[in-house]
Amino acid sequence: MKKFNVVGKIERKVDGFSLVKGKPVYTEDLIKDNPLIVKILRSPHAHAIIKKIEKEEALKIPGVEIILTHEELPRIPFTKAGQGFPEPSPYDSYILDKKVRYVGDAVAIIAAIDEKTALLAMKKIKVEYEILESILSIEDAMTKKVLIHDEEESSGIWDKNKNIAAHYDMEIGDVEKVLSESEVVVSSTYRAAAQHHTTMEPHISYSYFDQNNRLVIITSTQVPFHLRRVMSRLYNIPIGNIRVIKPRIGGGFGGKQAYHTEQYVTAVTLKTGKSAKLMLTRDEVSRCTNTRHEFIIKVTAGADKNGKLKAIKMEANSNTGAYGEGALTVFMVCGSKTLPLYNKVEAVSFGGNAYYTNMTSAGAYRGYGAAQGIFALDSTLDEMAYKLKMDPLKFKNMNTIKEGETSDVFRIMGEGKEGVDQIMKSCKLDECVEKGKKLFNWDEKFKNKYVDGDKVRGVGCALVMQGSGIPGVDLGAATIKMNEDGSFNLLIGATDLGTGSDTALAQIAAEELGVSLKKIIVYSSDTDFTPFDKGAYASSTTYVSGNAVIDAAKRVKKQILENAATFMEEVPENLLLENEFVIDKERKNKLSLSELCTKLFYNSNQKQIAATGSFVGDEGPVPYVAGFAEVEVNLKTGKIKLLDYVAYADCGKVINPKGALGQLEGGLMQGIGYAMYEDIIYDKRGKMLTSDFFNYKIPSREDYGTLRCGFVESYEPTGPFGAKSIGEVSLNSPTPAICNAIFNATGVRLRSNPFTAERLFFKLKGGESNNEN
Amino acid sequence: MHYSINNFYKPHTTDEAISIFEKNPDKSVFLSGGTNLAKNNLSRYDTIIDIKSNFKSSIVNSENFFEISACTSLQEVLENVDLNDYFDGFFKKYFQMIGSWQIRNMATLGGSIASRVGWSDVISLLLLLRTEVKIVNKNEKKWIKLEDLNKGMKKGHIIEKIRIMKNGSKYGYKRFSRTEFDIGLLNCGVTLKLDDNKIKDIKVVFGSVPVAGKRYTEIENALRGEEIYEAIEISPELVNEMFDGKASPFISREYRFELAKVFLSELLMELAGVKL
Amino acid sequence: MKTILNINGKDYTAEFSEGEKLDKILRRLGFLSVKHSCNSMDCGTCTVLIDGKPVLSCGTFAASATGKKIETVESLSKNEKLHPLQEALLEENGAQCGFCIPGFELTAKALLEKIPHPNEEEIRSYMKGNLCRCTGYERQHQAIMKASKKTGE
Repeated sequence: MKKFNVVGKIERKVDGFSLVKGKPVYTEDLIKDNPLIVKILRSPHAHAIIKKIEKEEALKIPGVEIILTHEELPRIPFTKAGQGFPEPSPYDSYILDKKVRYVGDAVAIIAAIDEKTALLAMKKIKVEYEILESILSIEDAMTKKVLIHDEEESSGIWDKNKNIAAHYDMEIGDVEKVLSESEVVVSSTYRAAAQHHTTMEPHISYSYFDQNNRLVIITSTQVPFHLRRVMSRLYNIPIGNIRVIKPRIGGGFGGKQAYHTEQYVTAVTLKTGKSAKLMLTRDEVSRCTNTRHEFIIKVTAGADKNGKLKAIKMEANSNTGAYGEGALTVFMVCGSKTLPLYNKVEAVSFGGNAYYTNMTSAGAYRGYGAAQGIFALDSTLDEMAYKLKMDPLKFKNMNTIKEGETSDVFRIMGEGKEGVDQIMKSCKLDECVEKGKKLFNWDEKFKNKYVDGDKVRGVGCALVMQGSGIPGVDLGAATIKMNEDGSFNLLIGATDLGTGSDTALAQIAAEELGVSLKKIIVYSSDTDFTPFDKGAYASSTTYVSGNAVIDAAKRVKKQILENAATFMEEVPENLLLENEFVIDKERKNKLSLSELCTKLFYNSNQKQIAATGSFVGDEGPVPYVAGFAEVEVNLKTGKIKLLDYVAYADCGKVINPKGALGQLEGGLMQGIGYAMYEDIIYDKRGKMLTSDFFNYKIPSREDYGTLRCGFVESYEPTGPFGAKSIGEVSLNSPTPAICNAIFNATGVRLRSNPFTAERLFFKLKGGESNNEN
Repeated sequence: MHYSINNFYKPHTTDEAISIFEKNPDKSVFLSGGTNLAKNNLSRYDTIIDIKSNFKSSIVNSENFFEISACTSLQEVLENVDLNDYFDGFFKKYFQMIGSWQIRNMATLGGSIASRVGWSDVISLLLLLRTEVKIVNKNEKKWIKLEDLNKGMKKGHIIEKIRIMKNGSKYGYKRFSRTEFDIGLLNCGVTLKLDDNKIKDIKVVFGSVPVAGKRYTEIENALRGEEIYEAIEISPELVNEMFDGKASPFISREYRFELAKVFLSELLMELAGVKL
Repeated sequence: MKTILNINGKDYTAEFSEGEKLDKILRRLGFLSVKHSCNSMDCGTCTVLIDGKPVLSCGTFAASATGKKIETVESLSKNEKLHPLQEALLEENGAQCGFCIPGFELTAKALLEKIPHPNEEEIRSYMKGNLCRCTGYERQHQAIMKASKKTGE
């Protein structure tokens, strides 16, 4: 393997200095004027028609600038999902609508000189609702004769008359036939819960007109370019008249891949000409943005008695809530980024519906359907292993995909459309299993169960995958320009959410240009100054944007060598770029980058060295994680303690070791939260009861035992310096691994997460919990 | 932001605090640590009377009791060497469960008692010990038992001091929460004195049921005088009959009952040093 | 009301209404390192030090803080120099999105003053009130260990 100078080295985050010093770098910190404060009046009903809105009293309050309702705004159907164009999500949303579809749906936009006035105005607006019957579960959606999206204008909905936002099914081979011929068949239904992103920074945007009367939106978003396009369409403003800036943002995880604030401040700025700020409250972040899609998944698997997996049938239904952000794509990823793992089956099928309900709209969330799918699939295969009396780790791993192999699923299933054929050019899952097994002491712990009175311990494993970007769809681009001190500006549309992508992409540029990291000056996510990028989602930044950076760097390098050749009286082919110098291959003659650029700027052959590169994937290489969990269960109370979690990841070449480790550990912790603690609960009228950190519990520092992680590096030939992705795959393993560990400890299988003490207690007693809400 | 608040007073004495309060009792509210108050909707008030900022925290070790000023923070109680020495690390061990370091720095012992929030560990824990509180209003200053707080403490009262009596019992406490940084969804405490394997004296406290902790004297009476193994055996039945746990969105009534049974019997076993 | 707040060793004249919380006032005075996230005293993001002790500024009335010593992250380091904790956070990648970091640093600083060489259990216990959604906590714990070694030298 190639020796690297910058890639693969521990580097401090390029934005780290500001972050650890608490510098003003987030959206709210950047507001220098006194903008209008925007508040959203929201529906108290899960499903209702707005009959009348009286706002005269509110408008009389001094300091109230404007109040907008559906009557004053264009009614253009769109999707809040931040995806490429045309979006594969239904156009079922409106800036404001005459119907509300969940508790928290937007009814009116209020702008006032301060928060106090805006809140006072909110109280004075009188809304008359005609309350409709509501749908508060997937089961309700399947059976109740209530229609959530019966409006004419919405499009892209699979079946409005059945509340089906999206539908998908596929079959490879004859699943029923192979199942009927299988010696061992297991069939189980799992319910994967919804989940809050809980970004520490609430959603916030700030809009104003700049000196040239162009609309500027500074916002905490994962998708600045998609946002610009959608605002242009909604408000009929030329794209060129909109500038979107994403400063540092306080976490995303998919929660900021949709438009939850920007359309409101834009409306206010357009109507008033004044700057406007909207920062959601924690309650609104929880209730009125997106959650993870809840899924009910039935997996039927068939194998022969030697443990060869022969068929998998996955029947899934998801809850997309009031609107269909990612309804189809999340649904498909539930199959497309789980089933290829078990590529040796003779037949496989996947299908079902994404249902509308009158609940908080589901959307993108790290793992994007795969986290839910693999919970059901891996756990079912775990059940199969016990039935076969085999070590589940051995059973799973002998059936997984290996380097050089493929799966038909890749070709058939993409995101919202057909997929792409791809052969696994890099796959070190086997080694992840071996290393994890050893560190975890799997063989010993699996064989010998630890029992101490009422406390029993158990172990579980899970093998998971994801992708790297959306092949054939999502584009990343980068521009590099050279300065006369030998530094380079790296301008990238890519969106660092705290993930460290600015740093990783700068490392990639530095490596290709033969300079140290400090010579790369990163500027990202400003639609006026950085080239297009799809944004941060689908684990794409390192792979897609990273390849774009390489493309740009190669072009710049070519220009450097060509120009240096003139000065050095050499041919470009005989020159190298190394340690900030251009050197001839015999190492006799050299020219520093700063000298070269100074000459080019001021003396002879004058020009600016700069280039833009772009990249769209032909495939989305697969990263893998092998996860291992050890739990201790108190049989008397059902209380579950996570004692140890071990995970090894193959994310290709690791660009920044501590950065990648942080992604892996952070993803695992969100996965642990999803598995054990995080529970969104609604009351009978559809009001969410877990919209704050008091009632919605994410893991704290005392809610896990040891967390031990590592990487098995592979080399992905299509990736930037061999890299794949790490962002999402990191989240997927804990839910199945912990589910399996609980079974190993107790003989009881919890098929709904979170795995609460109460659920386990009543299962242990042989009944179901009375608190299944 | 509490928009209705127009006045903020920081008196130096309880008398001063009470006289401010009495000027407008319906619109005034006492602020101690603020961990409960600042969360609430205060729109019916216009006056906050801060009874922490200018008050002195103190923990005095007397011959028969510890006297703690109401504004003493939970963290100060947790860390107090004398208290922990006498009560065998009780405060270090169990106050640690409450909130976070930040919360314990803010919350005061008096405020935690006075606010009587349903999930309070402080009330349940102090009920295990012999605790008295000195309540003060415009007419009276008196010591009452913590058990009588609901009866004795009315609007306009301030807690000025807390006394924890010295005695030689054994204490045990358990709580159930979803994560380690969470309120308890049930807490249970037991104080036990044995005399030749018979229960001489016992206190049984359940809290966060979901209302604040209280003693279950019926259970105590039924267990007093019982031989310890017998007591452990009948304890689940007593919980079934006398416990009044309710359902909440986060825990069912049935599970609260089951946990109450497990906690009570386990605490009896642990404190008596026996196993079934 | 108009009053004096002592922030990072200097007196500032602050004007605020009686019902306002300290986090808002500190931001208004330009201490923008103070972040608010949950506004219900459940996440630790808004932690500041008052008389050296970590408290939640979203639950502290600004009026209560007069006459006390308030500390924000702005006090930890001057100019280009970093506090050992900040240095360690950079080395260990303990700050991902960074939003929880000001609160984290202040609690950690107070911890190291109280217990110069905390063990893992003590770190978890004292830092429990500072939630982080990005890191999975491990990098941050490593950073505290590392800073504790440096300050002990």
